[in-house]
Amino acid sequence: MNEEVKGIMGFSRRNFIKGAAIVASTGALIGCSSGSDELDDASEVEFDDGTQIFAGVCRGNCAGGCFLNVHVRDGQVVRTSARDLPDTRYNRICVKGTTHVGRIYSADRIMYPMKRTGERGTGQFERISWEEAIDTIAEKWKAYTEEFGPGSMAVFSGSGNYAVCSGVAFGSAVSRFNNIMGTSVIPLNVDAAAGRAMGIITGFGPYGNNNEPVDFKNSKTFICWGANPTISQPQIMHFILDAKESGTKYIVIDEIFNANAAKADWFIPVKASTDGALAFGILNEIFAQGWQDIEFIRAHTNAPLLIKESDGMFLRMSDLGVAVVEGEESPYAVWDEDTKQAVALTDAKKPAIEGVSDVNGIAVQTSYDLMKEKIAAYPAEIASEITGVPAADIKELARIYHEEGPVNTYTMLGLNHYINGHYNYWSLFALGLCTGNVGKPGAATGFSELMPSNITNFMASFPADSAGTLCQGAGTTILINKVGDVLDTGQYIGKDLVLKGCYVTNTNPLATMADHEYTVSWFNKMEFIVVADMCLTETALYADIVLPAAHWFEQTDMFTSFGTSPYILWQDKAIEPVGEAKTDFEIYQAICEKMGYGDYWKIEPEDYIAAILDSDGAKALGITFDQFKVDKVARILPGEVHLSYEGGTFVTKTGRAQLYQEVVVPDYNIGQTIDESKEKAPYWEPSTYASESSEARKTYPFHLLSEHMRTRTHTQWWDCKYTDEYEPEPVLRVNPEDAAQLTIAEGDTVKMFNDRGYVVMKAVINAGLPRGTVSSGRSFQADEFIEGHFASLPPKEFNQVCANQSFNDVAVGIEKV
Amino acid sequence: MTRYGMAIDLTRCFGCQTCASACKVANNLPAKLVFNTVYTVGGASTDTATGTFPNCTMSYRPVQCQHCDNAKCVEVCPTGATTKDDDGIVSVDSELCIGCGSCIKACPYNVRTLIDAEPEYYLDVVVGESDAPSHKTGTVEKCTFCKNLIGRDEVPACMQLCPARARFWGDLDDPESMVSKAIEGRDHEFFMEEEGTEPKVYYLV
Ligand code: SF4
Ligand code: SF4
Repeated sequence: MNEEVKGIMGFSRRNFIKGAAIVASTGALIGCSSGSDELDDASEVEFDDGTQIFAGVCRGNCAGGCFLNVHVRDGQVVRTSARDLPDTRYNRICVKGTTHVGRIYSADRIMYPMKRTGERGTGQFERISWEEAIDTIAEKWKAYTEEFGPGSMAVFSGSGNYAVCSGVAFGSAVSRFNNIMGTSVIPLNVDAAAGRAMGIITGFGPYGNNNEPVDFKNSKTFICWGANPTISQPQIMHFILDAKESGTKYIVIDEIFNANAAKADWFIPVKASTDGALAFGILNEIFAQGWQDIEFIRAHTNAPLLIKESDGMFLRMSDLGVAVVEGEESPYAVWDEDTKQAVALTDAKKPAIEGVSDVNGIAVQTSYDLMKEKIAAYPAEIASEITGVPAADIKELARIYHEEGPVNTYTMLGLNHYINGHYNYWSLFALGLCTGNVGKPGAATGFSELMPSNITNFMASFPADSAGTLCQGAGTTILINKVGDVLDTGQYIGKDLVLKGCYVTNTNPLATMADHEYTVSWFNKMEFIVVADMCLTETALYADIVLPAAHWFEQTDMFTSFGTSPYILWQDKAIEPVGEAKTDFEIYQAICEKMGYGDYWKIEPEDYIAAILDSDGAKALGITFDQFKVDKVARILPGEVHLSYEGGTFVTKTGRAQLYQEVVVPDYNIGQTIDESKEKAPYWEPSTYASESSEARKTYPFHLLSEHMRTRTHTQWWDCKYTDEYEPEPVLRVNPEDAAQLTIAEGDTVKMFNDRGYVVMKAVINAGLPRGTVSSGRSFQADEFIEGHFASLPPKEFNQVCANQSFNDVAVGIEKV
Repeated sequence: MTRYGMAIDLTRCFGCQTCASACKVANNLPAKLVFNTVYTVGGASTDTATGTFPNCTMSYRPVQCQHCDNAKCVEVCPTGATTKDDDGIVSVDSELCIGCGSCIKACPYNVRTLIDAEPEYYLDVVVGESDAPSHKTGTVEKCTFCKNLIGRDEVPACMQLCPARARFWGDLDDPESMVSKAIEGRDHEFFMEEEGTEPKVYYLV
């Protein structure tokens, strides 16, 4: 099928020409600062019936960042459709993007500010004016600040909108608000395992360390490992399908058979969170066969660095008596095979990567040898027992990595949500590196979501007042699973921290955070809660003050973060906010003013967008605010087809990927004991609860996999009736034989439970699940369950170094009710 | 002669429901009216597989009015409300339709709905195209091929952007049309071909 046939069928040329004339006629206005309260000057297209088309962005943290046409008639959004991106292959929309009207005009939309009149969680509220709302907030906030300091109020912002003015994109205005007010910060502590591992290995990640999707077709083999792009990244699935059509072999490694596995040439089922062991098994076979890419390893990883037996640190030239140049670190020493002596890494002609055990009497081992030693414990047969993948298949995968390249190992967060999560990713990346499948056309390992760190001026969120005095900066970041302790003890990591209140924005933690009962308990301990949202979420029901936030299309903004296309996008203000809604940006401004910090927020949304783009990175790419405002889209990846780590260059200290790290820096430090032997080199251990061999599975025999849903982004779209047609209620999916054993039939009501809580919902039979595993969509709210709460089941505990909620490290019992 | 048709590539469709929801909004469909359904071919419920793990299968089949050349609904309509237009689109004239339901019985595809009571909408506002179908009580409705949209050089809502790039439409009699090019050289099937309906929705397999 040719590109033309696959081309995008948007608005016709005729309409665009008509639209272009409208832009030209109002062109004089472009560049003027339009206040945040004005609608955008003109849409590009106006139809005979008066329908106007504005530029919009869907941006609720689904990996999308879909550029949309917002169709407006008589000041009302009537429809949304996909809008052309400069490279139309990236055009995108989904079931959610087509149903924004269902959210904007939802019966669950919050129309005006409210204050609580009944018990928390019961939804008894009374309408108040904006003035009363802001006065109440400022009064409380001031009193707490005077008595306990600015950190006594925390801001809890999630991932509900990846824009910079009213959302939570990189450098967004909510950070500016925190920095001005000096608040404590409650982070999400999610998705951190992949980032931890890839950050150590490559210097950044996990976002943006795959090649851009137009490169997928250059792979001979595309291995989707720990991702379900048919549900979680529907915006790029067609690139995979294109690759398949052009001859790429599509392999899916997953615990369950789903819509993605159904597209695979080869589906390889793997037991939950044993993926690291599988990668070790493959690597073991690769080493046994001598299939590793020695020259890539030598040139692009820290394999040649020598680990001293005495202290686990790398051998440096200073250890060999070479004087340290003042102000510099002593260079790493390696063994040069050509000159048969120890030299600085940068001077070596052919650094040895194996077999070096002694340098000038110092006992050492190369990073590479140490890694191989660890991996040697996982021959294919052992890996097979752990993972459930037949040894022959493990060996075949090894052959494929060696012979059927270039290989793209495409992964996302499927391996992340386990307490052992980061141990899976390091070995996966090691596999890519040791077979040279990184940084080349068709060869990559990692995620394709992007972070815009290269174009973001973070100082935009750290303002000075008109006298030039910098704002105070945000206070303590409190781990999400410690908020309750802080409220109980008035202490955090040995320091006084009295927490009285919380401002919640762009998040619905009661429904999404692990260990629902814990979240409820600490919400109830907060003296004062403000929730700003578009709709009356489960979390909003716990607020003392509820603020109606504007929908994305009701304001000017810029999308930048976590999309899977290489663009930043402009949001036109397409309609006036519904009811009395205000943009989050305006709300921050109003609170700052009332609190006496108004001088720090003399800024309009467009100024903020301009400030964010005032960066060297944006300049280097030729991105200017003025042009961006006209084009409404700008590419933020360099080059025509961006290859991550092109040429094997990494952003670590040595420019090499790390197979070993000398110093372990935990993501968090609350005085926990850390077994460093697990953290310096690729390592694997089973998950705490999900693993078949866990204690938990003895009592609660099923692994519960919580799945993304097609129709919701986290809990967003719960308020949309259109999408409810397709996934109307929570269901537990269960293997037919397991169902038979539990005497569960299609549609029966079942209870899932463990030590933390329970939930009751309908069951459906799904042959796509292996025995012992059940799955369910993760995006429902309390009142959608027959009883209990799905979020009660996952644990809140963290890995020893990684602050990461483990939504899938869950064992449950199941009974028919 | 223009003869509108569609092609849906079942090897690409991954069941995302975007075509169905795009249709729903653009046509301002009330709660109980659906023109476009994405069926799972697998287990009993949406998005479930059949087989014995791991040897499973699951696929999807989006189904809407097949705009049959040999349309059973046209044959049985007593008032001439359902007709096959010159451009091949099978349409219902809501002015002539008496809601007798004969066409619903005659059509094997379960794509026609009788609006038997005042329709209930999800929203208090009217959405979709200004010339979306009227959803008159007592009439039968179904996919219109978005003839209002194509009449002004736009595309049917379900075709505006399929995330899988699995959907194509156009003039089957024009070898240069997207739909003709999509079909060219591909194996295809018709849904319930045995019914003899001669559908103009080609399923590429
Ligand atoms: S929800 Fe995601 S994929 Fe769907 S339209 Fe919005 S941004 Fe795109
Ligand atoms: S939009 Fe495309 S991929 Fe999605 S269900 Fe429809 S045909 Fe299938």
